[in-house]
This record gives sequence, structure tokens and C-alpha cells, in this order.
Amino acid sequence: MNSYIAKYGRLAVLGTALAALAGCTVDPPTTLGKDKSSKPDGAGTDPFDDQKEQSGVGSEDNTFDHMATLGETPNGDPWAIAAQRQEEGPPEIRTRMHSCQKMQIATLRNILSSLGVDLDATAGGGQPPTAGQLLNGGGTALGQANYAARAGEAIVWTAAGAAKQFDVFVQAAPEIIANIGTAPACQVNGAGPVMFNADNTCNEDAITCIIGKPATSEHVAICNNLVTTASDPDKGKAIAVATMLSAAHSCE
Amino acid sequence: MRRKLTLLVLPLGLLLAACDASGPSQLSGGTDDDGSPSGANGSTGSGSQSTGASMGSGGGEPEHTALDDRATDYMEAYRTASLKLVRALPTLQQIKDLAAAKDQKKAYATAVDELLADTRFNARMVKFWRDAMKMGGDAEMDAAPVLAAKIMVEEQPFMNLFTAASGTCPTFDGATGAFTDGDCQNGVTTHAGVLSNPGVMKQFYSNMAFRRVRWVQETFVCTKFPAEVVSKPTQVDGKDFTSPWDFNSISGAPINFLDTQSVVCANCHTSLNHIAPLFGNFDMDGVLQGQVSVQTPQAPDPIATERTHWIAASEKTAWRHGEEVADLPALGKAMAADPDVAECAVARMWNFAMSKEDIVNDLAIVPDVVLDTYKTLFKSNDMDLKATLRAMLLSDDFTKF
Repeated sequence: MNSYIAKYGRLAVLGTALAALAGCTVDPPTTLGKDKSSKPDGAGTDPFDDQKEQSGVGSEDNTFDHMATLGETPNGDPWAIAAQRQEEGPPEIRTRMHSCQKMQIATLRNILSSLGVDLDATAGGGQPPTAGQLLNGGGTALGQANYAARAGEAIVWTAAGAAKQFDVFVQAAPEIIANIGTAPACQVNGAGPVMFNADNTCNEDAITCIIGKPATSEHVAICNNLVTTASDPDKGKAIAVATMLSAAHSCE
Repeated sequence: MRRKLTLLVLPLGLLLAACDASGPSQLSGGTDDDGSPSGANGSTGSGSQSTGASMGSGGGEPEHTALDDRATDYMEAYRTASLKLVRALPTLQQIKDLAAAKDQKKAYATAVDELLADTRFNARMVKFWRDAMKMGGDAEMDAAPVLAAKIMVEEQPFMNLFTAASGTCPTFDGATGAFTDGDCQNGVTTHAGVLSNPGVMKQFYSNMAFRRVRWVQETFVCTKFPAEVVSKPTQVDGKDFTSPWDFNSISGAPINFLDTQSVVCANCHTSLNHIAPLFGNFDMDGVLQGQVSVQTPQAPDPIATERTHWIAASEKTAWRHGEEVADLPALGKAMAADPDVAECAVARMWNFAMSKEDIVNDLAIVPDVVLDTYKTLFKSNDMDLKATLRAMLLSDDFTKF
């Protein structure tokens, strides 16, 4: 039973809070007016009007607006949140395990810049947008903060945001392949790795550098497979780099 | 925490009716029949290989949980810590150095300390507090988040956030990662940390200063209203009145906070209305005026709020029932002494470290059994939130995946 309370009591707090969002009614519409049993007289006047003016009415429904959140963004569906928490397991367990937080937009910029991507580059006529253009124009999809609306940057992904980040990685891949050898983040003793070896196989150190942890043999194998199964090696290399980035950086 | 536990009791009846009976029993592992936690030890990097397994209720055999399936991975932890603390990947050289370390645990701890000392960490904390406070963008709106970040980075007592009387509007240079002291210029004689911050007062301006109070409650106590709930509600108009306050301690006009027809407004507003007058003299630009400068919503036009719009004439302002506070500095002191405020700060850091969602809007609540170690540490080290975060980053839970 205690377990039950622990798991659902918290949700009950939210439920109660949301119930309160309906607001503190000054009086429901049916009780307005000097005579609460009176009805509009049908002569073009509303006998409730004088009372409304004194009653602190906040809206047509006579209910004050209680914002669901501090900001102008709506709160999540409490039952959806409850279902998600239930799926994640008991709080004593799930809170001790890492969750998947989306990459902060600034982090994404830093990673790409550190790997040699010019985020100020613009595409030529008829060409698809550069990684920088996608990133600079994709703030909304990527969950950027909107402080004017009292909303911080999103913590978790939306489908649109994740797709946008993948698009950015696809467009960034050729630049990373070209520049990783001189990228400061990838230097060891003054020298940087190539992304692909002369035989078009993936370089383990380069993969390590772009994913931020030691590449395993599985990483290398997947990368090699992506190169060799593409319609041509150059496309395969771009796909491989974008895939490595996307897989590694789906979560912070 | 007692308040929070009490909060859980009130709506339980609602949930008992609303939740299907199969729910709890179908959750995967982790709690015993008596609800005791299963091995959430919150250990702080002792190097133990505790699995988090609990003793099953029927026999003494440890119950296998998802925690047992984790393995220590300092390389993964370093990547995550780096992304969180400085918003960048470790360099290839740093990755190789850690991978080659003979004592990887020690090398990881050193690496974390380097990240925490990096000026990029300062910028990350400014951003963290911008998002937590839901404000930022220019010097005025950044001042409160910057103050929080500065206090944290400089390892000042965290409660300075509510008690600092001067230097409460610092600035931050994103290029250098340097903080510069600054005083707020909004007519306040004695400041109270962020509680008298002009940007905060401007950003959360609203009718009767209620949004400012909600901001304080949700940002620094990590719960929505109601803030105070008694274990044994009294009946008002046949409904549960759950606040410890006298029902008639708040106003019934021009806003009828004593209304019970839809919900019992007083369950929240007894607490809310005893705090709000403290913020009422700040105008919509966040400047302190000599009179109440917020409005009471009343048709057809709002009117200037008077003190008796919030509370009965005989009432005094208070942080909580029995904790009268005459002004914002007193409010700051009361908050600084409130264990719920300390717990909220620690919980926010835990959620930051473990990539959890928002503790208020997304109900990413952290159980005591997980936080206790860190709450104790936080209190014992003069409320140094940075040191508390460090302990979290070195913990078994953070370094296991």
C-alpha cells in the first residue's frame, strides 16, 4: 500500500493541481445576481450585470484564469505523464538511471564547430541548406528556449527536433570528413586522424572523436558496412558519419 | 519533506478511484510489499559495486532490478559529464588519456574537477538557471539566473540566493566566462537575493502578484500549490479544507477566495495570499513603488489591489502558517531555513545530472531514498551546490549505464 501511495500519490498532487486549474470561481454563472433564482428578463438587460461588475469576474464563465504552468506553454497531459512514469518503473529505480535528454542547441553548435563545421556557411543557389543554416533556422524544432513566453529550452526530444538534428548531421558530414584532420578537438600530439583510411575503411580514432568516447569494434564495423553498402563510397561515407553522430548524440 | 508527504495523502482517494488496480503490481521490480525502496543507496563514488538489489519480501533473496543490469563505464560517464558541464565533447586526447589511465576512477574524478573548473561550466550554469527560472536574454532578465550561477560557481552558500542584500544583479560575460558584481537598481533599499530582482518582478508580473509567488514556489520548492496540507482536513461547505490556516484568514471580496463551489480556493490561496502582498509593490517594470502596484481583476476594469484583497485586515504576511515574515528579507531568511527549499535545489541538480525532465511540470520527482545522501552533504558543506553536483557526478548511479 505504501508503494501504491508512493507511486500514485505524487500523481494525485498533479491531478489535484490540475483540477484547481479550473479556477476559483467567484460564483458560477447560475448564482450571479441579486436574486440568485432570477433569470434574465428578456428585455435586453441582464439583471446580473451589476453584480458581475462587483464580483471580480475574470471571464465569461466567471472563472479566473489559472495558468497550467508559469509560462504560456500548456502543461503535459497528467495521465500521459502518469502512464509514462508507470512504464519507466518505480521511482526508487528509475530516478537512479540515466534518462535521455536532448542535446542542448549550444552543445550541438559546439560539437559541430569543434569537428570543423562552418556554421556560418550558406548554400549556393539551388543547393540544400548547409548544416549551419539548418541549425540556425531550426531553433523552434530543436526546442529552443522562449523566455519571453516564460519557457526554458526543452529537455526531451520531439520527433521534429530529433529529425532536425539528424538533418543537420547529414549536411555536416562532408565538412567533418574534410576537416576532421585539422579539427582541434581531434588532435593528438599535434596530429589529427583521417575520417576514412585510404582503403575507405573507417578510422577508429576519428569515430572516437566524433562520438566522444572510445569507438568499439562494433562502431567500426557498422561504419564500414554503411560505406560499402551505399550506392557509392562518398555517399556511404557521409551516411556513415551522420549515422555515427546521430546514434551517439541522440541523448546528452 | 513532511509537507510533501502530507501532500501525498490528500489526493490519494482521488487516485485510488482513478487508477486501475493492476497498475502497481505490474511495475517491474524495485519495491517491497511495504513500499520500502530497493537498494537506492545514493552512494557517492565509494567505488562499491552495490547493485541496488533489494531483499524480497518473501525470503531474503535480493530482488533483481534494472539497477543490477548496469555496469560502470567511466568513458561514457565522462562524455555525458562533459556535455552537461561544458556543453562540448571531450577531446580525442582527453578520451585517450582517460581510457589509458591505470586508475580510471581517479582519473575520471580529476577530469570531472577540470570540467567544473572550466569557465564554460559558468556559462552552462547560467543557462541552467535561465531555463529553471524561465527567464533570460538581456542583462535585466539575466540578472537572477546569473546570480544563481555565480553563487553556485563560487561555491557560496546556496541560500544567498534569497538572502543576499547587495550585489544581486551581477552580469556575465559569455566570452570570458567571468562574473561581474552589480547591484539592482529598482528602488529596493535592502535586497533579498532574487526575491527583489527587477527582472523577476517584471517577468512574472500579474494580477495580485500571484505569478511571482508561483514562481517562488515552483522554482525553489519544486511543487505547485497547495504548498501546505494538513493530515486531517476540516469540512467547509461539505468539502475538504486542507490548509493549516484559518479558513477566513484570506479575503472574500472583491475576489471570493472563500469560494467552495468549484474547488476550495482557500486550499491554495491561504498560503498564496499571505505571501503575495510582499511582492505587490513592484510595478510591471519590476520597480518598487510606495504603494501596491498590481491589480485585482474585476469586471469591467481591474482595480488597484489593496492589502485586504489578499488577506483579512488582522492577518500578517507569512511564508508558511506560523512563519510570519514582514518583508522580503524576512521571506528570504524563512526560505533559507526551509528544508523543502534545500531539497528542491538538490533535486534539481540530480535531475540535471541524470537527464530527468522538469520536476514540477513533468513530475520528475526524486524520492528521498535517492536524495538523502546528497541532502545531507548539501547541508553539511554549507549548502555548496557545486560540491553536491560533483558528488552526484562521481556517484555509482551516474557512472553506471
